[in-house]
Amino acid sequence: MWNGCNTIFASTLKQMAHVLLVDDDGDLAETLKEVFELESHSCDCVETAEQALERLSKTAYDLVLLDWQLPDMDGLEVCRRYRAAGGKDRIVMLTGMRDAQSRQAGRQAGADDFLTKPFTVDQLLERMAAYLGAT
Amino acid sequence: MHLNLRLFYKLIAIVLIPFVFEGILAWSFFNMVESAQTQASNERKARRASADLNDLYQRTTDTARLVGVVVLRQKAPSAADFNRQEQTMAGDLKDIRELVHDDPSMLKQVDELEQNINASLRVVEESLSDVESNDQMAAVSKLKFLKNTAPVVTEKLSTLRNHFEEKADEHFYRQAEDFKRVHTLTWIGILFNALLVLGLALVAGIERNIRSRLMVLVENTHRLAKQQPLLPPVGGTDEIAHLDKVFKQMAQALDEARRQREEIERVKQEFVSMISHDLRTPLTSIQVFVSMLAKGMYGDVGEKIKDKAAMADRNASRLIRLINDLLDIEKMEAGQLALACEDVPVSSIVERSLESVRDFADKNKVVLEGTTCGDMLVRADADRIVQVLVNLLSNAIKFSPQGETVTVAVDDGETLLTVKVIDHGRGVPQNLQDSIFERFKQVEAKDATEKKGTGLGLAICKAIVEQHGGTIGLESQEGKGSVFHFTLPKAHTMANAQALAMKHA
Repeated sequence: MWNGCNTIFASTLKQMAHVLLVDDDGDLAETLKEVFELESHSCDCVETAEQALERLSKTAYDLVLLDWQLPDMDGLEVCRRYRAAGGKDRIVMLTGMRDAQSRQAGRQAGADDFLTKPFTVDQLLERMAAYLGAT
Repeated sequence: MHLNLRLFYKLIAIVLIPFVFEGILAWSFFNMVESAQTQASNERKARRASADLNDLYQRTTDTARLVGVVVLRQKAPSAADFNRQEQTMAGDLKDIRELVHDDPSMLKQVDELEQNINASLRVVEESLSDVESNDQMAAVSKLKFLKNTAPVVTEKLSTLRNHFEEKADEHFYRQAEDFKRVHTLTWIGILFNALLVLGLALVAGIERNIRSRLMVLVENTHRLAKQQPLLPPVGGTDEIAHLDKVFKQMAQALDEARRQREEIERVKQEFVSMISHDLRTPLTSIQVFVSMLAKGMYGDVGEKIKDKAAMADRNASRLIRLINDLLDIEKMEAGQLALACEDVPVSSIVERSLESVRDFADKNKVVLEGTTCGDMLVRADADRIVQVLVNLLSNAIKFSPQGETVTVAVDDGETLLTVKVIDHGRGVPQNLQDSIFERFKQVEAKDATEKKGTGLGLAICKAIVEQHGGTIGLESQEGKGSVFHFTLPKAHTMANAQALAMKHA
């Protein structure tokens, strides 16, 4: 009980963030949405590149978590199109690729950072804190 | 080289055979013409000799007539007449002698003839002087001698004349034969040259045909190398057509093999991509959830659940480490690992590695010691070599009893540095020392579970070190500890070169 109160109290001190999660894996989306909500951020989840581009064209987000591989298009292409359309939101690619060439390709497509799958909740929250502190 | 030599011989043969044949033809031709000319000149000589002999015969008849005049009219002919006859006869004899000077038997006959003629002339001369001194009787008696010699001279003359006539005829026939031969030879020559021209035209045609078809084969090899479609088959049933056919079969087999290889490569890429992505996504859900539990984000779940959640988190990490190692070694063994080599001080590599494992060593109560080798530079991808050293150090710590020391030492060599990791753990049994660097080789089966190893660490170390051009190995005594060592190429710097020079001096 105390713990829950602590979490809520701590969260109110933190900046609220609006996050878009683009991943076709429903379980992961559900788990991450729960993390964000427990941390008092708001989170929209979409499963396809098409939906992601549509959302991005209408809404501004503090952070976009974009999966590398999507059913209709790869994440790099989404990134490229979004940047080409003038999108400025921070994009973090979720990927299993760890090699330098993939990272390079990601940066060229306009990604700001990478989060290597799998990650722990601490790694995710540390990264979030760093981004929100920086903005 | 061998083929060139043979082609060279072929060329020589093609040029030399007609050349020699033409030479022989020309030589025989000239020989026969010369022989015919010789026959003609011999015939001419013989005819002249025969004419001379005729002349001589006339003279002897004339001389005999003179003698007859002496006898019948008892009147001496003029000395001038006689002398003229004598001189003409001597001239004729000289001519005949010259004509037969290279035939000893004929020369002998001519000699005899001359002796007879001279003897007769002497008799006539003496009898003429007798007539002048009016001794008719003496003259007549001397002239009687001529009755004996005259027929001999006449017969000799006629024999010789017949001989020359025959000889002339013989030379004439030989000459005719020679000309006939020259005629035949000329036809042979014409025929041969016609055949030669025909043959050369044929050879040129065949050669052009062979060359154009060989060019198709050569073009096909280029096309095969560039993976372009091959030219249509060359015609014919000879070796070139066969070669073309076999080449096309080989190209097809190669194409098939390439397609298979591409298919395998594609499947492998898909597999790698599957591991890289599809396996990680569900793992992420698990890891995020268990880390949330362990962190207490779902409220207080009690110590036991927290411990279990932490264990599940550790196992998820271990699983992902195994996947990463497997992908790494796959890449390294396929030669797809690109090294970012630069000149780095070996001391910085050692320090970074020691720093990475310090917490682990403290937890296991193992003492870490490092001796570095000044500021010696090595040519290496620092991150990868740190990975190797961390791996060796982690193993050494893992298998060391509490309170023992693990030492990193660096030995300087001429072109290579040797890095050693020394522990006093349980050591590696002799029979495993060679295979310990292979995948999934661990000293004990339970090491995989108890010591949380993936069984890939040393295989990755070996691949990284070997890609740097170094070697990796170990010396170990069971129960006393192990020394794992690997070499690294030294940087090509002035400082290293000078140090080397100093060492040699």
